[in-house]
Amino acid sequence: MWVTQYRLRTVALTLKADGRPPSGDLPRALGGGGRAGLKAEGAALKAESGSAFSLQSSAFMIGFVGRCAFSMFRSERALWRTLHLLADFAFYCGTGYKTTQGLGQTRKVPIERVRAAQ
Amino acid sequence: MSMFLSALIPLTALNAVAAPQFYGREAHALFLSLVQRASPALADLLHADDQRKPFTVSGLRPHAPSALAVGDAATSDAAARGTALSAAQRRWRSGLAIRADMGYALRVTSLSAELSSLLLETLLPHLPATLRLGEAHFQAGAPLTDAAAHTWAGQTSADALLAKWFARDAPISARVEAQFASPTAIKGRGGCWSCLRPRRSFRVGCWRGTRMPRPPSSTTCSRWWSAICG
Repeated sequence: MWVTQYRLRTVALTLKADGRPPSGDLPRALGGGGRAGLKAEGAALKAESGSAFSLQSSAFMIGFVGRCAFSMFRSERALWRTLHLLADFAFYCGTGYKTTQGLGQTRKVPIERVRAAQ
Repeated sequence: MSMFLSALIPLTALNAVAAPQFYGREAHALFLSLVQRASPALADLLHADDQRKPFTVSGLRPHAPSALAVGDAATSDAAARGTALSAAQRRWRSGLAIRADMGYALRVTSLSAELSSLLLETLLPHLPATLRLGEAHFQAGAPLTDAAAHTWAGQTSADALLAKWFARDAPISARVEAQFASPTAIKGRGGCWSCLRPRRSFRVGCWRGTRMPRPPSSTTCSRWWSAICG
């Protein structure tokens, strides 16, 4: 997903979030969807913890803050390496929309911290 | 290939602003004005509408040289434990009320060699003594550009990242976790914004542009990575 900075298209990802309900209205377009994309690409993205936030700005904006896990279901090591490469790249390119205006500040969680949590 | 830079600019507030704001747009405007001052030609390029933006700018974030590292660690640990974010952590992500003499910071990143070079050699070493974000005025401190100086600072290159993760002994796994420290949204189908929504599953797809090329093997990854980084 981090290559969206460069307007590259990925196939659909199924996202599932756990956390506190957001305050304020959410765009209706967020609902719906399925799991087809998840299996097609052999990868899943899941929000491990966090919440949705609305921003105090001139325009209404909402985004997710928290921690996400990206899992590969395929065993190709080149894909795993690519996943780590892009996760490191996310530290510099940010994630998603309006990264030039403060949104999408991202960093990879160190592996030892992930293992400690598990 | 490109050189990547992440720099943190410490700021000390000179006046108070009671209304909480995110300051993302203000930080964006400030960054472009600083680039304009240092290199008008590059600023024009960054302003171009149909141009990939080779930089990111954070909103205003609290910064106390000793406390921030603790705060970041606490956030990560809380996330690692799956606990809810504290009220204070929620507050600064939604907007900050500025208090005089308190420490804040802006983070800027660059994805192009030209901009990174400008930041490191011209812009960051010669920042104006005071900077303004909306109604808030700040005294600028010495920028942090080294990962050893701050967890949100650092420098690397596309080549270095490629070498790091495609080394034979790279510590890879099928699972990667990422922290979204500021609100994160993705522009979706029909121009709507999508974000991870608690207790809902939904699809995010149809991001504009060309299809992401997949690296079939490590031998062709260099070419694939070049296509992304330019």
